[in-house]
Amino acid sequence: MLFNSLIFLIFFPTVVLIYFLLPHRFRWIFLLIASYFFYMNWEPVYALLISFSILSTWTCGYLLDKTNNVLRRKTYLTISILANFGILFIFKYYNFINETVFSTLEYFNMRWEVPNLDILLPVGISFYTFQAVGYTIDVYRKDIKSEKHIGIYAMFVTFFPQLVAGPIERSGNLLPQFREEKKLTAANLSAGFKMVLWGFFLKIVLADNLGMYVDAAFNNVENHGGTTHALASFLFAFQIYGDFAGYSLIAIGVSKMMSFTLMTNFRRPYYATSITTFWSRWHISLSTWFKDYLYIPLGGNRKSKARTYFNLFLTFFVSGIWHGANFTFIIWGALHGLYIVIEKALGLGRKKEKNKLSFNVLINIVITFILVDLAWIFFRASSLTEAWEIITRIFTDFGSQLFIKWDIFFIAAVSMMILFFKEFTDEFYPKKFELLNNKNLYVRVFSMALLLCIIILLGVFDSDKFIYFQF
Amino acid sequence: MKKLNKKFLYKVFLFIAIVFCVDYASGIVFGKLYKTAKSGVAFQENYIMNKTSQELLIFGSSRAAYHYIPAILKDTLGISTYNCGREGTGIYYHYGVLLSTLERYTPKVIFLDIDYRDIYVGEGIFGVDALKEHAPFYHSVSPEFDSLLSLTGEKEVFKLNSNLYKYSSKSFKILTGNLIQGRDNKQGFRVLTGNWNKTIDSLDAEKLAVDEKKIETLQKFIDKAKTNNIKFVFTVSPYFKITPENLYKPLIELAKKNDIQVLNHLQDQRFLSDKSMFNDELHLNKQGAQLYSRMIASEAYSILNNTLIDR
Repeated sequence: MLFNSLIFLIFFPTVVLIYFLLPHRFRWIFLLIASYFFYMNWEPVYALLISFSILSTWTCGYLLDKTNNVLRRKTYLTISILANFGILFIFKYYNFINETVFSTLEYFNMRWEVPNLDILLPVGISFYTFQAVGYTIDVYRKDIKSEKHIGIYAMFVTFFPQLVAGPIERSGNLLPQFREEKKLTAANLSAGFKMVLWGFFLKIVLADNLGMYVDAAFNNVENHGGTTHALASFLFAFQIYGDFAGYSLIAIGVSKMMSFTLMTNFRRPYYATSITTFWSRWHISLSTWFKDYLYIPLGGNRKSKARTYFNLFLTFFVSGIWHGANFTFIIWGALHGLYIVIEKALGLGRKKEKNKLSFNVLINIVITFILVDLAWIFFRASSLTEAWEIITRIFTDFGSQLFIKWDIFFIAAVSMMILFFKEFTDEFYPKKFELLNNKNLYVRVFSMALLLCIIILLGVFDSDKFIYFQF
Repeated sequence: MKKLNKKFLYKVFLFIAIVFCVDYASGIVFGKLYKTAKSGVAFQENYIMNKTSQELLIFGSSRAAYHYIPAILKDTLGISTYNCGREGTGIYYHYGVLLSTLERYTPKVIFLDIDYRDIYVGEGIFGVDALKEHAPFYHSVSPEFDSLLSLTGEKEVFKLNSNLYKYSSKSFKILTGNLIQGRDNKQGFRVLTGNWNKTIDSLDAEKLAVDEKKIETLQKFIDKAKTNNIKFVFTVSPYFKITPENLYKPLIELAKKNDIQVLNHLQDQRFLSDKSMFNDELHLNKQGAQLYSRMIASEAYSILNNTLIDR
């Protein structure tokens, strides 16, 4: 079930209504059923996988709390990690690794044929396995007590707003909220609704319109010149931002309307003044996950400089692998790892951002954006050859005839101007020029209504996918 | 629940009221702008749906729009002609145009140019999706027209209750259509000037399956024409592609069943052997369109002569 589907428009208010009408002690049961229903709408059989993830991590968490024996604790943690990353490996990476091994051996005139698995990637598997594994690590580290109630724990893993594409929640933040008796409040409904509206704008108006141009260029690389590819690559940066930040914001907003608070996942990433700060603004729930559960355990920056650089590079390399079973994602991750290592070595990117506009800040924003955008080409391209072809064309064929789609350009210009106005003022003039949160009731309500009208008028309602669902 | 105070409910009411007002006003504004468009798709669609009065109408996709020159047909047949061909549309869309036309007047002759995708299974522009192009005319033609639009699905019909949604994919075209002065002195015909320089290819038709719903719609089209005493002709314009012999078999069977002529130039050697007639594999260029229109006009003359002689 997609957030931008009519069925969700019926599903969500029904869930909210019934949830708040039920006595607190029954609510988790209803929410769990609703979450499973939401997930099973894609492919019912994959509910078994998520149930396996829940059972394995919950059991390991339970056992971890029961013992202080170091060896046993390590064993339980290892079982939990292997079980969850095992299913992730089988469903997401097995075919890729099998094919890579096969073609590598074939290169050396050796044959080692193992059949591929005929399976589809279950929606959201990378997100919920990471969330569940994060819980076990938290219990192992004794950051939290294990959750004794398997129903409440299942709720933590399957909570429908963030189940399929995050934010990847932390047990310390989300788990206790299922025990609290939530109240339906006007403030939460209003705040959540604004997030949902802005999320839909980012997704349906910005991302889906830009996507039509981007797809036309990236899906026919050889038929377009460097100018078109430069523009398509520029637009893709905003498409993926609108798509993913939009989804996250809808998830956070929907949760907020039910009085649940999820973590912020995006904070104006294209205003970052360095790659280091870009990663404190982009997909925050994943980057902090990697920081807490991979980078720091590897030693973080507590060891030698060389080791810090290695840890940083490895973290981003793994982040690339997390995104997908393709060399394009690996190169994308490695490229970001390289950027960060260079920044660190040059002593750049460490300064805390002051949110004040200056010429230096502007230059840094532009440089950071160009670097990020260059990496996005690998992320979007279907193969390394294709990515290289696009980059070559951009640098050798710039000035060639532009593929023109005036209606998309018009909507892109309008939506990017709205995005620019909102984010620029939020970044450099916080609490000023606010429309959706204006102090005046009429300005506030009129802005929200107008935003909805813009969404209906300029939105693409046929899109049936979010880019991050594939991960 | 108790926390939902009066002020909040007032805000909700205000929000909904503003959205309704903007939506209602947009319907009026866009509706007027749609009708006053002087160029582009908005002008073209509005003309096709609301203004045609010619005796011969040509229906079809982009292949119709680029292949039939009304001036040539008019000169040969002696009847006023308009090319209603529209890019990215299929049989469902054409049937919608026919329903709208018949609400206003009855043309004497209709040529329906058939693309093979009007016969076989396939979604997108040749499927029911093309009906979304008719969204601005929902509730303004006839109940039959509205029920045709309902083929897009219940959800789509629900969304069509919003005026903003009706015009959602056309807002830019409506605005520019009002800002840019256009001239339609070619009676709907659109010119392509490119020259195709690639070698001829074969159409892979192995996986094609006849779409019964499209055939049903073609039959409805025929029935409507017959009921209204319209002389109806199927036309198949050339492709620069080698196609299987029986590609149009379902259409020919349908035509036989209904006693309708098919002017089939699908594999006409005069075109197949001369790529300079084509802009691309699917479309003739200006030179090709001129030759093809002359051929069709002369063939149509002999077919229509008897029926139109008493005019």
